[in-house]
Amino acid sequence: MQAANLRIHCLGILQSQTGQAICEIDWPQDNSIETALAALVEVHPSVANELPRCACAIGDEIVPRSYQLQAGDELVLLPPVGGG
Amino acid sequence: MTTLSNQPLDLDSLLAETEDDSAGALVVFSGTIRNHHDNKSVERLSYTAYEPIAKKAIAEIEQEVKDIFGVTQCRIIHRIGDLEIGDIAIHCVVRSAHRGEAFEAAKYAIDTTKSRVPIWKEEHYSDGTSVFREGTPLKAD
Repeated sequence: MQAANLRIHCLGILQSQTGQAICEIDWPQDNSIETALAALVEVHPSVANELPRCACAIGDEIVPRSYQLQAGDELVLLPPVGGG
Repeated sequence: MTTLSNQPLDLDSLLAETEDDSAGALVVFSGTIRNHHDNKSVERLSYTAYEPIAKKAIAEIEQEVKDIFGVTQCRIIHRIGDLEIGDIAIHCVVRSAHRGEAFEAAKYAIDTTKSRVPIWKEEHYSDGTSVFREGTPLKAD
């Protein structure tokens, strides 16, 4: 049985848009990132336009959106980057 | 090796770290905070990073630069946190036997760092507003 919540790390502009570094949503029943992102948009509609351009990561790995979330995972959302 | 720092960057330590008697060329790119962007007056910048991937990505780029250009040394360090005008945000240090590949490698190092490392910069303007600069989407593969 999965944990009740999924922690989603919102970085860069997403943190500004949500007002939170970490958002928590109900764990998606199908373990999919897409479902998790849809739930995030319901809570924070302001991120809807940015999400399609974000990469997803688990730990130190960027993962495709087809990745199946596993117990203990925390989803990290990486907006388009631009250091330097 | 330090690749991210929330303290002022120390070029001398990078130069010492990359000392190489076989290298006749040394190219340093340093990115500094300028006071304007798109006709707006910039007061400061805030850099944030996702460190687990940023550190790994910088290390990969350093190795990639050496592999592609055949340079003997490449080190990249990026600052995070709040930076003022004139502060240094990044150093890319490249050493190689000859200057041609050193210049090319240094350009590749900074360009690739900007497009592949999860670092974000928020510009704070004199009018009190702030904007996250448009960036490059990361790819999953």
